[in-house]
Amino acid sequence: MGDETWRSLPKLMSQRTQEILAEQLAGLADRQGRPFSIVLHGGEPLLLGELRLSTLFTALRQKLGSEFGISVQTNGVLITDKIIDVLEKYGIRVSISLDGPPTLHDTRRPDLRGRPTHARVLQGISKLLARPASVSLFSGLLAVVDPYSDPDNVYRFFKEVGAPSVDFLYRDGNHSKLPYGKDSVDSDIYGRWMAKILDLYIADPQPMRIRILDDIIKLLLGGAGMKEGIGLTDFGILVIDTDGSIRKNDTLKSSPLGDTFNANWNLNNCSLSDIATSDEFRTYHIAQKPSSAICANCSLLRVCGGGMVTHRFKEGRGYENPTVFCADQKFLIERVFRHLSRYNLVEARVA
Amino acid sequence: MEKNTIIPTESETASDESLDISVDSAAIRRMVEEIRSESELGVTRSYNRTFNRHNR
Repeated sequence: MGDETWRSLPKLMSQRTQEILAEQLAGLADRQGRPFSIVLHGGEPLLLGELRLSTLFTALRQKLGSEFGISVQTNGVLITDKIIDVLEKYGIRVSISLDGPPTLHDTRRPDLRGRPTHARVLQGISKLLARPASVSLFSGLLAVVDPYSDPDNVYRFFKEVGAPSVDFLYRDGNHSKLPYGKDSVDSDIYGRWMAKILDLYIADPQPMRIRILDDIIKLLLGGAGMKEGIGLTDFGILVIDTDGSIRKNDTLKSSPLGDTFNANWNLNNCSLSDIATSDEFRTYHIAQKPSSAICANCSLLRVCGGGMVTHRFKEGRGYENPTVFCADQKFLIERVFRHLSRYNLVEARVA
Repeated sequence: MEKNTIIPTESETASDESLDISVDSAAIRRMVEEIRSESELGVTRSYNRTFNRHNR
């Protein structure tokens, strides 16, 4: 989506910034009284290497203890046995970005020299799966949907990989800059693609987990979702860049209003605890809830949740719109509903 | 009709004829069990954002 801000940032977070971060997170934990999740992403967090990762995880575990979930979202290319040793030692879970078979993955995820990465990612996955601790170590895979790909091929590929779970993300976009594959806001091309994955998932006697589908199923059955962009549970998200700057949900980078707080917070000039109780953070937090009247009056709101904030953007109207994937959400949720209704699981479930 | 009642609408390809489900679904069964256990235990699961990011 054209975000270039990463070019001006340090490649790695300095040790000093890491130390401040660990202190601040401990302060937030004390004040908040509830655990939170920490996710290293990027960029590519494994660029830190095993020594720097050890230093960071040591600081985090010393300050936060073991009950805080710490995970890494990686492109999978730099996974080595030594890296896995570090992850295992500190109880870190890892998720790997893999879009599908080589033809899908390598088209959009070459390395910095333009070389294919698919084979190296599979090697990293194999190393993880070979570990006795893989159940606690390896969360699964994250795939960005190509709505022109064959869902059957993609599903079978992921089954063969043997990861414990796969999650699917739609391509970023909004009402003013349509996501790849959508020729209009009314297009439901992503919903139809996911519905085919759903049909395979429902029929599979030994399915891996597919989180977006699990969340929709659970929400329709009266449970709670776990995934950002589905359901109405909102989560406070702060992103700390390598230079210590503190930003909003980074998916907002893909919309023109961006992810920067007005206050330009940085770990060096403020505390995470103060940010979390500030008016600006409260305003940002509340904004996750859909504000469109169309969403408010939609029978599927409790399940859809209005989608990701960044996908609601429209020039001249800001975020006060349904998600650009509204038609896709409707198609998919209705498909899940029909599956559940065949087992008489949904008629009694009314919000 | 209650607000927030899930109402399936007619959809050309989401018709019953296109659904070829004649066996129990392991995926659905798994979710039913999860909801049941979470309800019994009063489990509040924390958000795991790992699956919401991919390297840009």
